[in-house]
Amino acid sequence: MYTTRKLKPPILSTEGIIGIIAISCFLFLLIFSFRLAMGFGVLITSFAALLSLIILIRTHNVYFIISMLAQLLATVFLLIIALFDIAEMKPFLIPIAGLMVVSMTMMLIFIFQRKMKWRTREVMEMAAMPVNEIKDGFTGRPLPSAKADYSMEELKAFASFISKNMIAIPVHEASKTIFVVNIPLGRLLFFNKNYRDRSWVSFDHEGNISSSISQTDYFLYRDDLAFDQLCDSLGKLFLEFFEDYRAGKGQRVIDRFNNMKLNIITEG
Amino acid sequence: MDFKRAAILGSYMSKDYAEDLFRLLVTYQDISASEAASRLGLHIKTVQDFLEAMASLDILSKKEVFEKKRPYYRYALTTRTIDMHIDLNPLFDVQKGEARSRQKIREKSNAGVRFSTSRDGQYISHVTMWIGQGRNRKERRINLSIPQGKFLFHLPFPSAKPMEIAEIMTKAGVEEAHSSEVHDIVKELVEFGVIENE
Repeated sequence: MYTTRKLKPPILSTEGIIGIIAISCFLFLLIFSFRLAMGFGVLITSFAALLSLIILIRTHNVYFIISMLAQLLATVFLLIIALFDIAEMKPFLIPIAGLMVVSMTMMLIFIFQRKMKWRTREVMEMAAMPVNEIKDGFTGRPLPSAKADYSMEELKAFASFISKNMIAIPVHEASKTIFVVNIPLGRLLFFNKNYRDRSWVSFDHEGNISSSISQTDYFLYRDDLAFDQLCDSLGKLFLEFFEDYRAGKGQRVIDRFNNMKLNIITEG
Repeated sequence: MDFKRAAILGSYMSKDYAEDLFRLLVTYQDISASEAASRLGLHIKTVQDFLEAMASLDILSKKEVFEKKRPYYRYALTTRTIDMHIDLNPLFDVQKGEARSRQKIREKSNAGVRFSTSRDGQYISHVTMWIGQGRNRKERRINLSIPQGKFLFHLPFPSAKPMEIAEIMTKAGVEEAHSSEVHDIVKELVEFGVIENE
């Protein structure tokens, strides 16, 4: 099935730019000093491992255990090369390298399977699918989208499903659970719970579902899509996810994302 | 008596020299502002304003007289009682309210307004607008009652079809008893260009 993309093409994200600069520095250092480059590599891989750890804590996505393990093994491997004589450390280096290759291969497999991908762009594309009317009408108000019946346990389990599959980040408040669709990395890393200026869908304890799309996210679309329909569609999309999940069809939700056939890596 | 006339009367009646001035007006057949001012030890402008206001309310009559070259006015009391009777019935005009409830409204596009939601996210707690331009731009914040907040939470978006006020109230679960406060905030926001009506 071919669908017209409604989002603008992705731009290089801040994280992407930092990654490119770090790798360029690593290659540049490699020309001058092998050991210094390895030392810098340790910094890069250890920071990447820390990122994986934080994402693991925030999302409970177990695939990030493999990612963190691969990055930690790479850190140890590069650290040994940077500090010790390679010939002497061969008995340690070979098993570490072996484990590193295995875990990195697994990590690559998971990446190709889209198991470690943030689904932000897919969510936004899906929300825009039924909206064809173009009408400027942005407002900062949330839209009451739908009403549903669910228990607190069901909502909690759904929140866990959504975060594990990196569809959104749930924020639990006294009277509701908010699913923040497009959370910036900075807020994710620093456990910042501020969501009001982002796009979100809220399920309150009375069964009311409201949604809001931030101005930043609205401008990611190529056209000024009818804003009320877009917000309504986003709220109803999460209700569909919830109903599928409650019916034991969680995999169907993931299939819907994968069928969108967007890039395998998270785009800005 | 309408509110405007009642406001004038109330404002002058509240002056501590009002009773003294009326005593003079009762005592004298007619009196000029300068005579009354000199008699009570007040500034002539103060007395003139008082007498003019009472004349505009038909409590006093005024007659232009000429003495030498300068004309001036002499004031005389025309009534023995002053009634302040304000009819509040027009404010309860049900028919007008019903017509307003059928008015179709929605949020105006690019209204440049900020709606802040309540803690539970189920109603709007306040609306912030910016009035004026350049250095004179001022923030105006309207705190809303809960029925008003619920109503605005369900107000159609700028890109949505306008809805009748009564329909929005039903959708928002706002009771009919709160319709007057809802109409009040709608009227205010229409004036500020936040809401548009069909």
